[in-house]
Amino acid sequence: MKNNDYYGLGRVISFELKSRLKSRTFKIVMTIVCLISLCSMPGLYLFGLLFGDGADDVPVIEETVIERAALFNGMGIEIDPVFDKESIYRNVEVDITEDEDGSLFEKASVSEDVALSLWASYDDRDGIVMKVAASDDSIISEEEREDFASCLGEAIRQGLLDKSGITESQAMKLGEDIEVDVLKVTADGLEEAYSDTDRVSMDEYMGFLFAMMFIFMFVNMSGSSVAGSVASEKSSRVIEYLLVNARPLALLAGKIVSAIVICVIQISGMLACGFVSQLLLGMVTAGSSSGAAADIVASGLWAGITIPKLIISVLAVAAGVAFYSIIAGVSGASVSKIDELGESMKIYSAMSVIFVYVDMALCISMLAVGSGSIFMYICLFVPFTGAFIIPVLLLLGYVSELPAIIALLILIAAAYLALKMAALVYEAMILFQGNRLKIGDIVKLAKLRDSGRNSRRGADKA
Amino acid sequence: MSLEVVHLSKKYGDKTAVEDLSFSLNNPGVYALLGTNGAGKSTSIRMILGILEKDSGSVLWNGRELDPHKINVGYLAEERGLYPKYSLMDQLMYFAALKGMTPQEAKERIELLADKLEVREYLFPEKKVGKRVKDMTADQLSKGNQQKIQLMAALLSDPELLILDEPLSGLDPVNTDLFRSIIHKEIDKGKYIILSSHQMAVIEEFCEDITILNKGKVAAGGNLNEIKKSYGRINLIVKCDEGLSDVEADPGMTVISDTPDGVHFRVQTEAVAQNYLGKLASLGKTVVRFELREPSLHEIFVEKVGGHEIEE
Repeated sequence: MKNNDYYGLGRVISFELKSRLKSRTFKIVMTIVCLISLCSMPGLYLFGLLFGDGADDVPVIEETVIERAALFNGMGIEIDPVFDKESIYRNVEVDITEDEDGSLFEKASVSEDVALSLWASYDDRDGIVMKVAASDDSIISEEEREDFASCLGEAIRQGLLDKSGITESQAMKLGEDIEVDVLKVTADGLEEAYSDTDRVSMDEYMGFLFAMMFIFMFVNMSGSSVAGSVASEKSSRVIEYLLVNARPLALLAGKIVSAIVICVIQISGMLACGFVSQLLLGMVTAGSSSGAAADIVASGLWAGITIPKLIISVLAVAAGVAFYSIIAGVSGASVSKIDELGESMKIYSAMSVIFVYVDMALCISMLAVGSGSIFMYICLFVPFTGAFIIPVLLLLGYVSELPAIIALLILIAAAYLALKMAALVYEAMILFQGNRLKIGDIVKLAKLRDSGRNSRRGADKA
Repeated sequence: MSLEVVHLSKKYGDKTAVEDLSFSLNNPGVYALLGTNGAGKSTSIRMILGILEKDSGSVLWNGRELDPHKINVGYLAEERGLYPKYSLMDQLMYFAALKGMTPQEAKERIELLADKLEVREYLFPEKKVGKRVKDMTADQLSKGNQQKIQLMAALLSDPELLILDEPLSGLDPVNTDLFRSIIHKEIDKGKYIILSSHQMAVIEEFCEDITILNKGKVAAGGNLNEIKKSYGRINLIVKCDEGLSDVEADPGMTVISDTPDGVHFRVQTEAVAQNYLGKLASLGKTVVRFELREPSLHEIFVEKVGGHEIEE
């Protein structure tokens, strides 16, 4: 067992984990991440209140001075406004005409204090559009005109619904986008195939971006901490003592495993706080349909999340953290002083940013052309981009479990190969201090290690 | 048990760091590696421990290739290595765990060594009422105390092979004596120790066998007494009540120094020294000190690496 390349791994993991959990950095990051997560839903709710559709400061009108209103019907269909029984405008005389001769606005110029002229039309994007006018000396306030026009628009809509015999909720459903799923029928049963024309909605796009940025943040933090730890051990020369008692591969792998565990703890804390935040908001705003909060809470984004998807996603995040942390670890091993770390991390930083930008490009392309493109699958399966995108695509339902599992396995394999290569480089950088290494030297070292290991095994057996 | 170093060599590019180093330690005791700065001592030690790849040669422990992960080795590095920001106790427990010690064993051993090395207050800080006790970190300690903690790390597992690279450098006289007493105790326990140092008095105190390195090459090596004997007893220190200023040195005698402790001569042979004694007696001088001895290790070292010839 002591001949094993991973000799000392368990103890390294234990120490690294304990040190990181006790560190001030971890406590600060954990606090910040959980606070942000806890405040996210209330923050969105407040944002919706202040800047959302319902945020305009419309004063409540309790009594009306309007007695008559002339309505020009430009909607192209017969309308019959139905005011709510409690509406203050239910007694207003509404004279509907389809006269286009402008007499409607002539009426508005007549000095009738309590008359309004309105024009109703229909716009494909905005729905029912109401214009309202009154004479210059009208005593009807601007707020009341706006309120009346809004209520009249609602009344028109209600009249149309009553005439058609459908309810409001039915009308909302009718207004949703039409989704098409192409199915295959096989001898064994129904096989679902996803349509390749399902575009990302704006909600999903925002969720996509946020999730990817969070994953990028955690991957980057883990990589930086591994690199910093490796460089610190070399800089403080404690590495010499450690190498007497543990193999280089165990030292590197131990840091990476502890970085993964820390990342999982931080993500779990963040998700738990987010869940609590959503619960609290739900309790506080029960019955309210205010702004963005309602959209988020009721969003269909989370409807498709299952336990297997969550497990695959967590494993994918862990594998992504491992993959990039290994690369960062090699950057850390290339320096002998902690001051040099910034310089050595430039390539790692550039690489991670470039690949996350590629994933962002994918996200934008999915807004336009939808999912299922070759570009999406390239990003999914290539480890450098897949590290950030596998959980997002899976949880949002743009890929099923099977391609996600394949991508995860590719990422794990890439991480394993990277670890083997990194260990060689790490060992070489420490054991060949002062010598410039080429790739050929590293290959020779690998062969020497293998032959040395075989001869040691032979000697042990003898 | 025995340690054998055979034809160890290391080059950094065109520069030879160590060339063809060989020695053996067949009995418990201390073996000294001496040399000026950059002579190759630390490089040799790192190659012995396997933390630096050797270009050629082998290191055998009990006839088999030395693997520090298979035998119990304690190492005190020349450049002190502690995590600056981690708790001292956590680090020592970690190092003990790497050695395969249980937490209980580690704690007991740390307590024992902490008392011996007088660093208990740093590892077990006193609890004060109303105040949280914070573990001390390495960067809060002086260099000497850091060195003590490192020695603790080297001795934690009661190793059978102990390698100390410049263990006394930077220590004050009190701590130097403390370290020396600890090394004596390890010797008494029958340990195999490799020691590198610049302090010749310490080497002469502990070591029977030495190797002197000069620019990576072996300048001298073997049993210290044998090396000294090879020079012969050529150092003569004479002190008379009346002084020696009026007495001419005999042919074959060279004055090295004249101090209140006496006049230090280099003599070509012991017979020259004896004749000089006779001459002093005939002149009626009261001789209070007449000491004839081999050259000191310091003198041999300086001659081997500094180029000042000692006449044999």
